[in-house]
Amino acid sequence: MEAIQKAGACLGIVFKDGIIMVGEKNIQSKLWIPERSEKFAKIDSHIVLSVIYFLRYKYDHSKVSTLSIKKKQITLKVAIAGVTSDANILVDNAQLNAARYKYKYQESIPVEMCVHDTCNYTQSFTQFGGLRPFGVSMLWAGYDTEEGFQLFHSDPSGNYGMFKQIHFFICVYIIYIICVIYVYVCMYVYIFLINIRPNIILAINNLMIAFFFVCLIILLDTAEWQATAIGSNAKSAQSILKEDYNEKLTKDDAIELCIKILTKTMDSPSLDSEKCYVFFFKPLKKNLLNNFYKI
Amino acid sequence: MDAAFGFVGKDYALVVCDCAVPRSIVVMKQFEDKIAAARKKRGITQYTRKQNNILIGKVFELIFLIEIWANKYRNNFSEYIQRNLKWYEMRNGRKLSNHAIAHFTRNELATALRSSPYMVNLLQAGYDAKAGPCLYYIDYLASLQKVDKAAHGYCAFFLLSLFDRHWKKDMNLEDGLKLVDMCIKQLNNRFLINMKKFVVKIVDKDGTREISREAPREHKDEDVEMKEPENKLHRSPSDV
Repeated sequence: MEAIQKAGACLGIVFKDGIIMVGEKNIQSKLWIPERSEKFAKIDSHIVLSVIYFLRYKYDHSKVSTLSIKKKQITLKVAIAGVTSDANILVDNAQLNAARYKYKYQESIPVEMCVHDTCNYTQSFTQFGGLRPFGVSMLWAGYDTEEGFQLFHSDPSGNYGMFKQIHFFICVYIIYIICVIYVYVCMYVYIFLINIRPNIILAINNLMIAFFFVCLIILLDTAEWQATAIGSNAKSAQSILKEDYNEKLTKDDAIELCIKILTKTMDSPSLDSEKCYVFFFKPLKKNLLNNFYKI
Repeated sequence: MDAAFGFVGKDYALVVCDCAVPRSIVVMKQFEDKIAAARKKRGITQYTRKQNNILIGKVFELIFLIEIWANKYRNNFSEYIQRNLKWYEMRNGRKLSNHAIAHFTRNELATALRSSPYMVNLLQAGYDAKAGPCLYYIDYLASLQKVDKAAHGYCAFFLLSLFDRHWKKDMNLEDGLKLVDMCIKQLNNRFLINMKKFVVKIVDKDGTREISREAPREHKDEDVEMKEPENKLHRSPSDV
């Protein structure tokens, strides 16, 4: 899990009209011509891609670990070779699952099911001796008619999660505590200081509970964002996301936000079109169109 | 000699099947329900989470009609499909759409076709909250077609022409049931062996309903199609 934190960052944002994902591009040398994106893969027409990664799995006794202690450039190459292959296996597996589902039901596979299947596969490599787990963590962006746009994150252990707002629950909890304290203070004041009949206190109590539910409903309606980051400096990226995300983001705003965060997570100070992928995922009428383009 | 037909109306789909179980020249049973619900519970409401966190109820229900060639195939196959759907629901926490169920069924028939074929023809009627009512025609050779009106077996000879004439797009339920009566009457007129009892199942946004229809006792010359010739060559069902 720690090793995963060291690879280049990927982050995804769900907004009203689609999903934006950006990833850092590794460029080893100017002579190297990337044939395809090693960070993004298309699973099906609706689940687009899983984004991949991460390398540098450290073993106590393997050759990989010895190499990783050496120069950074060399380790990266080795690591990418090793891990991109892990990722390819998983991508193939997911594509196969998606295609099988489509053959059987003539319908696109639900996003969560696809993630679930792949995670089950990943998990089996953590359970038995002699097998090396996949050194890959992924972000999945997908769309289905039931749930709309979805963003999932899965890691080498086979856990996966769908990204929703975290501080929303904290807010609700705080409001709840405030209500409770308020009620108890009221009871104390009324009973011991003013001496009012208890049924009035009960009424106040009910009011407080009503207040709590109103707050809850308001929160449920307004609080809703889905965004996450994986890779190097993922935590700082997540904290920026928490501050800057709001549900009214437009496509341009979202791209801008992604790029801004990606810049902050990278080691090198400058970010240009050579160094990142931007992926935009949106539905086109009945079918879904996905575009790869560079900025 | 089984008769099974169905059509799609405005916000509902219905299927009709006769209730007789014949073997050779003998009728073994008169009250056999040949229509199986693909989901046992009626009118289940499925909740889906939307992006704005509001729960939206959604009815997702269908009937599944299976016409027999042999009784064993019908029971066997319908249970097989039912259990598979249930398993899918338990495993994935979501329900298949009618489209997916039809293709799944077809796939199963096609897989079995070359080894131990199921001798079943079926009509699948269903209602999806988004897609509306639908009717699928599947035969024992695993051909699948989404249709507005369909009939299986010998009754197709007469009923398809009747549908062409009387079926209209977006028929309401009242007109639909009139058409069903017309069909039953026609079957009773034309076939050597009369089918006495029919079961009609309707699926719409509220779930499924069942209506049983008796073949009309009195023969009346209401419809142009069924007008009898001047000289009575054949006996009407009431004489039997």
